[in-house]
Amino acid sequence: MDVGKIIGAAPLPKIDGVSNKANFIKVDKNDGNDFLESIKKGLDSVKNIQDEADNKIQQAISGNDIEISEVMISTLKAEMSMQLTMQVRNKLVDAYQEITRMPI
Amino acid sequence: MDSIFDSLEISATGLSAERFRMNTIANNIANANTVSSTDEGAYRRKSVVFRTMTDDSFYSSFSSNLQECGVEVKGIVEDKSKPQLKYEPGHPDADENGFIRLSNVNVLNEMVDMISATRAYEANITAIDSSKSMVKKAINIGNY
Repeated sequence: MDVGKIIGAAPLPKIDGVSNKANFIKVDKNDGNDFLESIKKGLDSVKNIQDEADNKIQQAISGNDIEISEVMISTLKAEMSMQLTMQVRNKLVDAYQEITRMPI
Repeated sequence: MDSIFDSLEISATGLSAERFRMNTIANNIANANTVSSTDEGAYRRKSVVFRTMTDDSFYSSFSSNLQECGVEVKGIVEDKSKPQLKYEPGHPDADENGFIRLSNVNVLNEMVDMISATRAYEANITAIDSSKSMVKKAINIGNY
C-alpha cells in the first residue's frame, strides 16, 4: 500500500539547521574571564547605587536640602539591586551544588 | 536612558513637581489675608504650570521617537484678576478714599487645588509601588 495516497500523510520534511556537527553549542575558548568580568561589573554598579543611597541618607540626616522622596527612591533602588544580586548569587551556588552532586 | 529604574525616576519627577505645586498653594493660603494700599502691591494668586520633560541630549535628537522622562515645572503664573477692595478707613494701609486691597486668593479654590495636589502625589507613589512590585516579580522569576 502506498502511504502517500492517504490524504494528509506525508514523509517528514528534512529539518534544516540540524547537523551532526552540533556547531550551535560553541564554547569560546578565550581565558574564560568574561563571565567573571560581567559579574564584577554588576557588583560594581550595585555598589555605586548603594553609595548613592548612602550619600543621600547622609545628606538628609545632616539637614541638607534634599527631598524625602529622592532619599526613599534611592534606598528603594539599592534594595532592589541588592535583591537582584542575592538572586544571582543563589543561582551561582545552585549551579555549583548541581555540579558537585554530579555522579561520575 | 533604559533601565529598570527609569519608571522610578519618572515618578520622582512627578513627586517633586507636586511638592512644588503644594508649596505654591501653601504660599497662596498664607498670603490670603495680606493687605496693600495699591493694586500693584496686592498679593496675586500664583499657580504652577507643568510641562513634559524631554530628553534633549545630543544623541536623542537623532532618534525619531521622543523619550519622555517625566514632568517639570515650566513656571509660575499670576492670577491677573483685580484684588478685592474693602472699605476700612482706619487701616494704616488705606488709600485716600479709605479702601484697602485684599489679595485675590479664594481659600476654597486653594483647598480644592490642595486636595488635587495631594491625590496626584499619592498617584505617583502608587506608580512607584507598582514599579517596585514589578521589579520584585521579575527578580523572582523561576523561584516558585
